[in-house]
Amino acid sequence: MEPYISVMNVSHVYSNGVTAIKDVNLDIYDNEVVAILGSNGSGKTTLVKHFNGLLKPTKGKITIGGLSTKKERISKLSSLVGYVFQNPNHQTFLPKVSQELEYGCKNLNMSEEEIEERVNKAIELFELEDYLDENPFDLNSSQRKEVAMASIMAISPQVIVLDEPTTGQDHKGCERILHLVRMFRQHGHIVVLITHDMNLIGELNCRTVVMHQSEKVADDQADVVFADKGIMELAGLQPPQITSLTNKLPFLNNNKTYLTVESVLQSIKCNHKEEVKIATRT
Amino acid sequence: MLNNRKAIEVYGLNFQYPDTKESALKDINFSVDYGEILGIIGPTGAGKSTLAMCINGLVPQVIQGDLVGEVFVKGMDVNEGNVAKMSEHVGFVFQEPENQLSQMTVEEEVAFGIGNLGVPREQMEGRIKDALKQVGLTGFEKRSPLALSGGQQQRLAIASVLAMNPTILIMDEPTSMLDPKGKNEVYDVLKSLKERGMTGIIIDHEVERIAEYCDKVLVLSEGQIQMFGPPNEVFSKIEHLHQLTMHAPQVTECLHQFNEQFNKDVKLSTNVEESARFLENAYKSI
Amino acid sequence: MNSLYMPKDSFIHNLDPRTKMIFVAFVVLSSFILNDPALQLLFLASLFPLVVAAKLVKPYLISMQFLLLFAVLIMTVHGIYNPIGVTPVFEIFGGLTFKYESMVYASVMSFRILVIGTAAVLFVMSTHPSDMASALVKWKVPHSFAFILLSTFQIIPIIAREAKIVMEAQQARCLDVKGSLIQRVKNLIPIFAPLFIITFMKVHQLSYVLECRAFSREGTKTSLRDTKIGSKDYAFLLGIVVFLTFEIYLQIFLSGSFNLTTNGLLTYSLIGTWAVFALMIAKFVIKRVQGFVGGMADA
Repeated sequence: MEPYISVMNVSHVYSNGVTAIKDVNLDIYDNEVVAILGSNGSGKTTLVKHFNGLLKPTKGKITIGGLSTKKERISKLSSLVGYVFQNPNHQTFLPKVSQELEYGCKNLNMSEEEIEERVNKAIELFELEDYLDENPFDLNSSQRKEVAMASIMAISPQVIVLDEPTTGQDHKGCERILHLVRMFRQHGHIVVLITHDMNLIGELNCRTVVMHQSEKVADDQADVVFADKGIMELAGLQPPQITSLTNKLPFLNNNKTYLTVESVLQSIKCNHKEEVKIATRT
Repeated sequence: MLNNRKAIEVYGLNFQYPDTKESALKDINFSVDYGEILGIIGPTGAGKSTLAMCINGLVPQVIQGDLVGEVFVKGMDVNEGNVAKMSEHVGFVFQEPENQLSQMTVEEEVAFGIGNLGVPREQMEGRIKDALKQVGLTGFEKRSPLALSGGQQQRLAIASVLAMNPTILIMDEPTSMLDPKGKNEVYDVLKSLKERGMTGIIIDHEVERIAEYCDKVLVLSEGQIQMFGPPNEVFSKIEHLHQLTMHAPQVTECLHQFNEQFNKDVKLSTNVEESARFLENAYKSI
Repeated sequence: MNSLYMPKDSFIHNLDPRTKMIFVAFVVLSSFILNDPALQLLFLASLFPLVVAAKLVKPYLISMQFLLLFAVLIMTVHGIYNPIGVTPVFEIFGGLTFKYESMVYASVMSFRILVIGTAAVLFVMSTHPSDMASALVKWKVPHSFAFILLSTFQIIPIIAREAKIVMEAQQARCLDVKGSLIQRVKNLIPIFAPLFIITFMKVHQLSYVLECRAFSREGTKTSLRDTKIGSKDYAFLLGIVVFLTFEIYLQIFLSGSFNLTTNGLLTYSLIGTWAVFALMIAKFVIKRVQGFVGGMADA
C-alpha cells in the first residue's frame, strides 16, 4: 500500500541557521492515527508544518497523496491536510459560526452547492445545528476550539492535524476530543496529533512518534514506546499514572504495558478466571 | 490583629458579572491554614479563576461585578485596601507564561514588582538573587525573558512574585500551557515552596498532580462548592465527581472500578504505592 | 534580540540616555538649520564617525537601506516633476529633465531623512530601552508613560511572531497569501482581525499582571538600572554646543558667500543613490535566483 504522507529523509534548517528537524523518515498510511510527542522545541511542530506546505524541506522530499509539497501551493495542500492550530484565536475571526465553516471552501472557490454540502457534513459531525448564528467569541474556549476544528473539517481534508487539542481542557473536554478523534478515523480520515497529553495517547493506544532534539527517536505503538524507559527518559516523558501502578502489581501479566484503567481491569478479570480454572482443575 | 485567624478566610461569597443572569460564585465559605496548599478543581466555567481572583481583590476591584460576602487574608479585609496593597501578601501567577512578562531581562522582570513597592536599589540585588534561586533560575539574570522556555518563563513569573515576599501564592492553571518537562519544573518549585511553609492555592485540571501536591482540595461546579477536604477524602467520593463530569486520579478510578466489578469494598487511595498494596491484597481475596 | 538595542561596549553606549536624546534633538535641529544639500551631506559624513565609535557600522548600513529607498524615490520623482524647477541640469530617456531647483529641494529633503535616520538609529541601537525609560522618569515623565514606551519595545517582537502564526493559521484555511494585489488587500482582514484580537487579549492580561505587581501603588518607585550623567556626557554636550554654534555662524554669516551645491554634486549624489539602489536590487535578485536554482536542484 502506498503511504498517503511520505516524509523522505527530510531536514529543515531555519533562516537563522538552526536545524529544526534532521533526516526524518516517516510514512503515514490511510486510516492511521499518529501521535507526535516530544518536548517543546524538539521539532514536532516543524515536522508537521511540512505536511501542508507551510514549510518546505531544506533537504529531502515530502509527498502528500503522491504530490510533492515543493511544487504545490499551500492552499492546495491545506485542502488535503487540514491543520487545526492550538489557539483558536489564531484561526477564527468571523462574526458567525456558519461563516467560519464556509470560509475555507470559499477560499478554494468552490461552487455554492459544493460549499453547502461540505459545510452540512461538518455541522452534522460536530452537532453544531444550534450554534450557526452564534458569534464564536461568545462561546467558551472549548466550544471555540471545536468551531475552529469544524471549520477545518468543512474543507474535508484527507488528513486532520490537531495541535495540542486537549491543552487547557477539562475532563469533559478531553473526553470529547477523544471521541472526535475516533470519529474522524471512522470517517476514513488520517489523524495526526501533536500533543503532550499522555492519557489521551494511552486511551487511543495509537502509533506514536517521539521527536527529540530535531530527530525522530521512536516510532511504534504507544504501549511499546511507553514501555521503553530509555526513550521516555530521553524525551522527558512520563507514562500515564496507571502504567506506573501496574508496574507495581506482580500478579498482572508484566510483559504487557497497560495504558488505561479499563485494560487493567480486563486483565485482572482474565487472570482471575485463569487462576480459578487452574484451581478447579487441581 | 487576631492571632487565631487563618491565612485565607472566605465568608458567604457571592459574585455576579455584569450583564449575566447567573452568579459566577454562590455562597462560598472556606478557609486555608498557614502552610497549607489548596487545590481547586472543577469543570471549565465553574468559577475557579473568579474565586482565585477574589482572594487578592482583582475581583471585584479590577474585574468588576456585584460582590457580596467577605474575604480576609491574614486577617485583613481584602477589599478595604486595593490589589496593589494586597500584592505584598498575595502573589498571583497566571496561566500564560508569556503574557506576564514586560521587561527586557530576567533580573529586571524580577526587579519590576519590588521596584513598584519602592524597595531601595541596594536591597534589590539580594532579593532578586534569592527569588531566582528559589525557582532554580540562578545564572539567567541577563537573559531575555522571551528567549526562555515556557517552563522557565513560568518559573520567572513565580520568582517575580516571590521577590515581593508574599505569604500566599495563588497559581491559576500555571502548567496547562507547558510541556511535561515544564510542568515538572513548576510543580518542583511548588513542592520546595511548600517545604518552606508557603501557603498556596493552585488550580489545575490534572487531578493526579492535585492529589499528590495539595493538602486540601476544593471542588467547584457552577459556582458552588461541591466538596472540600483532604485529597483522599474528596477523591473517594468518586461517583459525585463523575456526576460533575470530573474524574479522580487514574489509580483511584482503578480501585473504584475494581470494587464495582468484583463487588468489593477496597479503600480508595490517590497514592500509587498505596493503591498497589490495596489492590494486591484485594486480588488475593477474590 | 527582543528590541533594536545592540549591546556593545562603546563610548556612545555608555552615554546617559538623556545626553543621547539631546543629541537626537540637536541633529533634528541641525538638519533644518543646514538648509543646503552640500552642508547636509557634510553633516551626514561627520555623523558617521559616531556610528563607527558605537561599533554599529553593519547594522546601521542595513537599516539605512530602507531609508535610502525613500531618498531614491524623492530625489527622482521630485527632481523631474517638482514645478519649482526651472534650470535644467541633465536629461534622461529624452524628455525627462532634472532641474536644479527641484533637485536642491529633493536633496535637502532626502538628506534630512538620512541625517535624522542616522541619529535615530544610533540612539535606538545604543540605548537599552530600560535605561531610556528610567532616564525619562528622571525628566519627570510619568512612570506609566515610560512603561508604555518600554512595553511597546517588548511587544513588537511578540506581535511580529503572532502575525506569522496568524498568517500560517489562515493559510491552513486555504487562504492564498500570494495572490493578486486585490487578493492581498482582501487578505488584510483575515490576518489583522485575529492579530488585533490576540494583541488586545495579551495587553488586557498584562494589565491584570501589572495590578498584581503593585504597578498602580502610589508612592516612589525604584528601578534596578541606574543612569548617571558623568564627565563623558558633559564633554559630549559641550561638543554639541560647539558644533551648533558653528552651524549657526556658517548659516548666518557665510551663507551666500560660497556655494558648494553645484550641478555636479547634485547629479553625482543622485546617481550615487541610484547605484546603491541598483546594487540592492541586484543582491535581492541574485538571492532569489539562487533559491530558485537550489530548489530546482533538489527536485
